Amino acid sequence: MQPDLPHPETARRLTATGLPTQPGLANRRATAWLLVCLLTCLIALGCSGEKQETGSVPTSGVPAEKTPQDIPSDTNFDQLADVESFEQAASGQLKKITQWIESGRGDSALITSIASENYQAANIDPGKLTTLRDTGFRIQTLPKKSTGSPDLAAESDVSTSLATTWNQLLGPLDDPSGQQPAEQRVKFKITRVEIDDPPAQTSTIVSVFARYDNGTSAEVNATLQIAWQLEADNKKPLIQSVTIDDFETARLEASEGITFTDRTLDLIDRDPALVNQLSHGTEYWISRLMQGDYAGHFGLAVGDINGDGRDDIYVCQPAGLPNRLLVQQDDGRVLDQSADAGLDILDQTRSALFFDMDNDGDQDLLVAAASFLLLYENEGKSRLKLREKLFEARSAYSLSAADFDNDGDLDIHACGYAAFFGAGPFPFAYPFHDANNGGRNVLYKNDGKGNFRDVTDSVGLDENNSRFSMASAWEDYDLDGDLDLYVANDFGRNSLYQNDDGQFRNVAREQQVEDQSFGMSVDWSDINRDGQPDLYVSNMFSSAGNRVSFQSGYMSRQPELQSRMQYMARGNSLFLGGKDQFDDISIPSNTWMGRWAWSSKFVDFDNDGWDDVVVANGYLTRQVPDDL
Amino acid sequence: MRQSYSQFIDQIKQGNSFSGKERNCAFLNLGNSQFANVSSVSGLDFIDDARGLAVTDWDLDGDVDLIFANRTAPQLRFMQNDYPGDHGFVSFQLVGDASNRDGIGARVTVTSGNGSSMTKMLRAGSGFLSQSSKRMTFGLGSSRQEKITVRVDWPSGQVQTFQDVDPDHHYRITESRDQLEVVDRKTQNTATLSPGALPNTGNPGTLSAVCYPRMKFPVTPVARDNQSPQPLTFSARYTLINLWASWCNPCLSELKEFAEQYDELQQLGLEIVALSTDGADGKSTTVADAARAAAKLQLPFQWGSINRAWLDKLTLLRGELFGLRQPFPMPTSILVDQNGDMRAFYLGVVDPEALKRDLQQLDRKDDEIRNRLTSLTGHWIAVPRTIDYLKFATLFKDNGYPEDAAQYDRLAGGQKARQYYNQALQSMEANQMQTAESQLREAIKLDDSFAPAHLVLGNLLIQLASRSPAANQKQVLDMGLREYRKTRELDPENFDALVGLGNVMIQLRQPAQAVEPLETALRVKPDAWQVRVLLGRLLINQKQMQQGVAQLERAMQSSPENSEVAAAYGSALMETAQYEKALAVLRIAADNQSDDPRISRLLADSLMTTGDFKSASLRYSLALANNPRDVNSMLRLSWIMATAPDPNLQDPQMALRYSQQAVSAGSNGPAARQALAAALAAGGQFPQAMQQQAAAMQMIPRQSPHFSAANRRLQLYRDGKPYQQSKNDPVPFFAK
Repeated sequence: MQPDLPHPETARRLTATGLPTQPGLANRRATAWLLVCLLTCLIALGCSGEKQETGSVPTSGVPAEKTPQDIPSDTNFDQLADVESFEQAASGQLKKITQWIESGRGDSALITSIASENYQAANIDPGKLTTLRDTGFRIQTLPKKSTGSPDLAAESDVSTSLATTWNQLLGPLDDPSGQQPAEQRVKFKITRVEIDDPPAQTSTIVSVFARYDNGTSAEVNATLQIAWQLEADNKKPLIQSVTIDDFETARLEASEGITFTDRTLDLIDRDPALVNQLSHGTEYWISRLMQGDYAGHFGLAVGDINGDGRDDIYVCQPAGLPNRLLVQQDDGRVLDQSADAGLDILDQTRSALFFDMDNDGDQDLLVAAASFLLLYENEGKSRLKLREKLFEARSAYSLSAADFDNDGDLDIHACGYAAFFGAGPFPFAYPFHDANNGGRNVLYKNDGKGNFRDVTDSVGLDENNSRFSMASAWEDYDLDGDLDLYVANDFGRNSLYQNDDGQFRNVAREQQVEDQSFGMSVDWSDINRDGQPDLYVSNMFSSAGNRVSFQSGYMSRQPELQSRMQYMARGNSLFLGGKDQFDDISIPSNTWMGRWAWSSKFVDFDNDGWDDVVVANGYLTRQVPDDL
Repeated sequence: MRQSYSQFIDQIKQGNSFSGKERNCAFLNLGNSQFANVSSVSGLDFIDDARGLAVTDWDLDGDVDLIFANRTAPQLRFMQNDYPGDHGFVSFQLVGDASNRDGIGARVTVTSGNGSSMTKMLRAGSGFLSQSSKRMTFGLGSSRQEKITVRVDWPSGQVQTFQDVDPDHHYRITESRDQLEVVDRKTQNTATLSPGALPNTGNPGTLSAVCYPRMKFPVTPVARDNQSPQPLTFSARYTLINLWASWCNPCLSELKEFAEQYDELQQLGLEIVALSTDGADGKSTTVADAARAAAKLQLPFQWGSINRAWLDKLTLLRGELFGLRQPFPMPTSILVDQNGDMRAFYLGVVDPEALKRDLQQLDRKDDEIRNRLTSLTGHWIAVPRTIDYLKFATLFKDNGYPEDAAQYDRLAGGQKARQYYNQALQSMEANQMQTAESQLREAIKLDDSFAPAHLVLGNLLIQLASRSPAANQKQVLDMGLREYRKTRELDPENFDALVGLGNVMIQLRQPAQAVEPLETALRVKPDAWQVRVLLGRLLINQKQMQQGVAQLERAMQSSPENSEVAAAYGSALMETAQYEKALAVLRIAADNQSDDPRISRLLADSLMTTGDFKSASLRYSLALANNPRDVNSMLRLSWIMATAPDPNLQDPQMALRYSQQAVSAGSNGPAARQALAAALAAGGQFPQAMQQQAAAMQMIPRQSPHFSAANRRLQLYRDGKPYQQSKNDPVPFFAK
């Protein structure tokens, strides 16, 4: 089914969510509503699956809809529109650099046309590259001067050719023997635009990747300040200078081997039904089945269902497609045993969790369906029995289990994303940057035999508990012997519930981890091995959001709101645990740019004893290549 | 604002991407809280719209592998870690004892020889919609050869420390054991999977699709022969709406093919309506061109033309149904059934053979069609989804199609009522009766003609009545009665409503009014033996003995092996003094259900009434052995022991004890008194016997045959004689 876009009534309400409004804007410029897109995308699509679910309940606990107040517009839309159209023009010019790189950087005339006559940039001395690591991955950067920008060659040593600048920038990608890459990819993202005073300035993130036939691969990731000479119509601005803010390159020589290899096809043993199901995307199935969640929020769980010491996988699927239980065999391949196990559920299910609910030594399974949680008891021999439906957790996204009260059994936490169960328009997140009209998260206490009771309120977890919660993760952050809970919320501030003998208190603000943004995912690790748990929260980085929210004319009379909006577009957050409170090291640690991020995990993928980070990302890749 | 907002939504619907083709990121920890971007060289930077990410050392080779769940194809990526570095590892599986068995929340600290430590906590569920392995893998950096120290802090508070642990092994740590166990994978099992991703197949934009679930086709005004457009109706079993144009050559050859196969298709119940888009599709051709083309083709089926607004409407529809708001390709055909429900879309030229196959499949249930569509089976937990008509009503209203908006609005009302109804069923399952009641009332408010909601509300109210305080019960029952009556009004042959009506009438103590609905229910479902038994007993209760027994006899004929029915029938026969018949019925029933105590008791009664005291006393003794408080068996046994002609059965002492026990347990009806009297008389205590017998006679109506029999016994006692049961005398416990 096509995503259930909000009822037009909700569009009207959107106008009062604190967002700037001005009628007729869209007709004038096609780009100025990009921010609106950013701001509304999740509501428009991310939650679409819910609307299809069975009828509505006149529930208590759903906050009464707030009466929107009309906020006077303090945003200069002409300025934003100009910014966005300049960005389009600049991106169009940068595309020529992309083409030139991908065609092998041969004919420099290809990009001479986009440089101004007085172009100049400091030469980059490859000798100045500092090697941060040389085992396996080779990581090099340009060291920063005290002023913050990298220490390049002597200031007087400048180049006047754009091609020279780029050849120097991409030098670390080159093969010493002069071999051409088998594959090259270039991606520009303009994250800041300053057009008030000429020359125009853009802050641009560039990523270039090259892979050679022998298996060697290398990438350059840099942030550049580009000054543009504005032409009369602004359609084709010319590059006047390039300054480097950040420069980093990673290289993995073929002789060092490769890191990850996709072996899915052999993993599922070419089972035709499985291949058929999983080699088609969500949208294929929507077009076949006329239903389904456009946003594709379907996860997976890894666990050992049959106790043979090998992990198995449970894959959650949209409505109309069966979930899959993939059981690992001796040869490392899997056999689909979903039907045998009674787990070939056709209902829309977002996530699942293996855990031993009754301490009997086998893995039971919890599955988040749209209107309830399904609790399956392992009866041995890979057969599971639906034991109970837990109705309190509706519209649940991520699930987690932990023994919050240290009584020797596992309790359940389920994130309820939206307070919406079928009838009427989907509730808009309100207010947009701090929405508190979402669903209810539920903590279920286990009586030791796998009987669960909703204790959310009595343990203090109903505080800050009507957010659009995506994910939660447990950790004893204060190292006092009981588990604390971090909850990542879409559209606003997150919660850190500190556990004191089974009673919770939200300490996110005092611990400085509210991370008021679009929280999607949370994971813990001790990344600096100081014994204090550290926290990684994924959000959505938005180039458009960054460009627009930093304009002087954006929410000019609400500086606090403006800075919140800037933060919301920033990206992922890494918080370093400390003795007193957490320290936000997202920017200096270089882990913030995770794009539109979803599940993000600490993973020590090179076994060096330091946890790395992997970010799953991307929102909607659709048939028409144009990206909004 | 609204305009810009809907413009954005429109672009999405037209198939635009939004933060699409973004590449997954990987950041390498350099120590000192610095990370390097290795997204691409790590090989993880796919553009899959990834969502879930789970971590596991799948192959137990000491490094962790990654599994991604994606929105776009392929939906699953198993990324095996081939990192070749010489970094050592160690991994642990935890088994809790005082702590939870999975060991969730345990902190494991690995300390290498140089004193540097790494601590990890085991958790279940992290990231987004993801759960990673419960096996905890530690990379050891370069300290490959060195022994390590392992410390576990269990949630229970217990701390275990293991010194001089060898790296490069997989261990199991059990909370209650002070030894590590090595659980390395056997090497012979190690197989290498060959590289290869799942293919990315299927372009969602060019698919034929079967409508699942089905949905009403929009209003379609068709102009024929220069007449003003008339809405299309669907009288054939299936109608194939074929969109064609005179400029479209594939359309023309397809029409030719349809014309050739028309007879055969018609026999399968198919009608064809060819709708020309000439003059409406922006091409230069006109309706006159279409007419010429149609004449040339000599179409045996009807054709007409549609206008631009209708084509635009179909584009809107496509956007909603298949996520792509673009005009359908030419030709496109849409299969519509007799109810006006769309059943299939064929984009491009239809293969007549495929069409024939589909026609034979479409009568199947929706779920079977789903299975066929996906070739993937499975089962639903909740109710399968339905089309959200409200959304279509809004869409068409906003886009200037009031007729369609009205059609879908109508459907939406009923549909929303059904959603409330389904929700109510769930609430009832969760034992939230008050919620269920308000949901059902919402459903009825939206669609008063939705009979199931009335029915379930009726059932719910009857349940609630039994929990209500006595003063309110009648009121709640009356409300239930109204719902059943409404259900019956909407659906006169609704069996459940009819039974409900009978039931609630009985509860309202108006049994006479229960007869008619129950009789009607039995006309609907003649095999419903429970209802027939209920009706039979009701009639007997109403003193319509003959009719009652007849109903039960019929129940017995249709369910001869059912002990419930046999018991009811047998007891009715006893009540109507058809003892021989009762005995025959109950003997057969007892043979079938030898261990059913009711049957056993009834059989004993019938044996007694037919004079077989010996068998009867045996059965009563057995019943008493099973239930020593069974006063009925006591009294009957007492009667036999006091009055049986067979001296072997006589036992005046026991008779007296049983009857006294029964009377002191509260049995003080005329039969109990007579039994006591008989026992006293058998023991020679005639004055007391006369006293009890007189008391019994006070309670027996004078015209009853029991009265004269009792009177005869009184005479005997007065004469100092005990009573002996004769075959013709009525036994006090049974009708005569």
